[in-house]
Amino acid sequence: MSIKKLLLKSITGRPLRSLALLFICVIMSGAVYGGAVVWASLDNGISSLEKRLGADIIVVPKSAGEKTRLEEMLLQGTVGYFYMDKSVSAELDKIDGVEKQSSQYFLVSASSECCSAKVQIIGFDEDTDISVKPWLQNAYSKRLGQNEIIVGSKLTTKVGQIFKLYGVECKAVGKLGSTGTGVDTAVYASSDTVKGLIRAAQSKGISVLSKQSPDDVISSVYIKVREGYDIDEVTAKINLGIDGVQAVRTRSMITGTADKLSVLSAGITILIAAVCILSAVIMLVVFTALANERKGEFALLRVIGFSRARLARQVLGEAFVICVIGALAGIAAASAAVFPFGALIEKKADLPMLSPGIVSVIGYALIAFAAVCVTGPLASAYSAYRLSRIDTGRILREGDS
Amino acid sequence: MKRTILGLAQGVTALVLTIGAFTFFKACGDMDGKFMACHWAQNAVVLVGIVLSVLALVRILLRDDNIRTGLSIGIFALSAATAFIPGTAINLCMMEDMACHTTFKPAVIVISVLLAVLSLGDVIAGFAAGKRRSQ
Repeated sequence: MSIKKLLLKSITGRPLRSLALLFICVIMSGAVYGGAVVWASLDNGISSLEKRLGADIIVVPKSAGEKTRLEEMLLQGTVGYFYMDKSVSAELDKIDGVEKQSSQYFLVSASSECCSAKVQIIGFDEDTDISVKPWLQNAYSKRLGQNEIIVGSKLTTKVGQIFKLYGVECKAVGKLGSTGTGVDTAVYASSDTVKGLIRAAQSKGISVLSKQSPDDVISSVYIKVREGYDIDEVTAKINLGIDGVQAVRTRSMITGTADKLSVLSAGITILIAAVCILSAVIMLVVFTALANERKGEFALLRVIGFSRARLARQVLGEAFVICVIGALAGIAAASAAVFPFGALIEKKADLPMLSPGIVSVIGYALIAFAAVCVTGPLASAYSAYRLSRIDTGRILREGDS
Repeated sequence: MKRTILGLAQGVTALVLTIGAFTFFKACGDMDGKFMACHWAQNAVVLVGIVLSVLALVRILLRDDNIRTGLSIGIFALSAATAFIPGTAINLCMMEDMACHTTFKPAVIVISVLLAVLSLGDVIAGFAAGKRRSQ
């Protein structure tokens, strides 16, 4: 019998023992790899959110100014709309420290026409925009025309398709890359298109605005603060100086999310460390117990001519083969759980998630694979040493008596 | 023994696909009394799941190895096709953060791919056994 065959026979000959060890390896590699991918996805999500916020301050009507509501719209994609008088924009110009400002319009589609769900429509002023256009460039670099829209990555509409909103046929001219945030489910259009949609909604009897004309209102103003000015001070000036509005510092909106993320990251790190330590200890105990159980078998192998080194290689080889199979199975199982169900994890965690690139994913898989394939043989090294040093004669005599 | 375990595993997986598709990983519910596109994808998966469960049950009950292999080929083809029902053959809802995209589609894909792998394993085991018998 060849050496390789003996190794495989030894593994398949004791299926329960091999399966138990395999299970430990699957859990360990799955926890290391799956945990690392989830952690990286959350980290990418928050970085993407930070980059995409662009502006320093967001000004919204006081009624909509609750931090949680804005957070929900930005992070979870909760749809909503609110309006304030356009004159706010002129008043903001008078505030010292405001360098640039750009207004936006929010609208929500009617659920029936968008084949199953309400969609957030965001209208922005292309001439003054500071928060949307920089990251829309990759999707569509030209100027958005009337009734032209750019759709978020989580909408199934493809470029060139027609998207009906309040009876108006809008053409999708671009599709955004994934951001891992609530804006992935939104539709972007020029402010003129959104004003036209508000009129179309009114003509269909859907009262979006109470009395005013769409030309007299805006939903929010995004502000870039002049260099040298304190953002918090400018925020306070706006809140004190302009009636009926609420200015929110954008960074403060993601503080809660960042805190949640750091708690979750710490939890994942502790879980990975605990699983690794526990797996290593279990492997060490199992291999030590097996060393005692297999003394007779190894004494016989010595008698038929196996060298000490060959016996040690046999033990290490068995551990290595089980670890390789277990690590690959664990990585496959974790991939099947983390990637297809990523959107579900994002929804349940209430946190922005953006999957890492393929190179990073391969890197995490290699780390998990190496962690398992090093831990297993290391845990069996002591057993290998003990089994290679057995007193053959004494073990066989004990077996006879 | 190996083929019996594979047969039982196929049966359990086909049942999980059938029952799960209208219970614990079902598509979106109705909205204002109207069913959305994903509802029909769910119906299709349940129907195919029932056929897969019947095939798997017959595969368990019959003793003839060649018929078992033939049934497993059928299960393999049908389960591989099932993975393409949600989103490819039948449209799902518009937004990818809805239940049909976050739960139903990934669950159907993972379970039907698992069933395809199990049935492929059974087909390979069946051919290997046939080869041994003919030697």
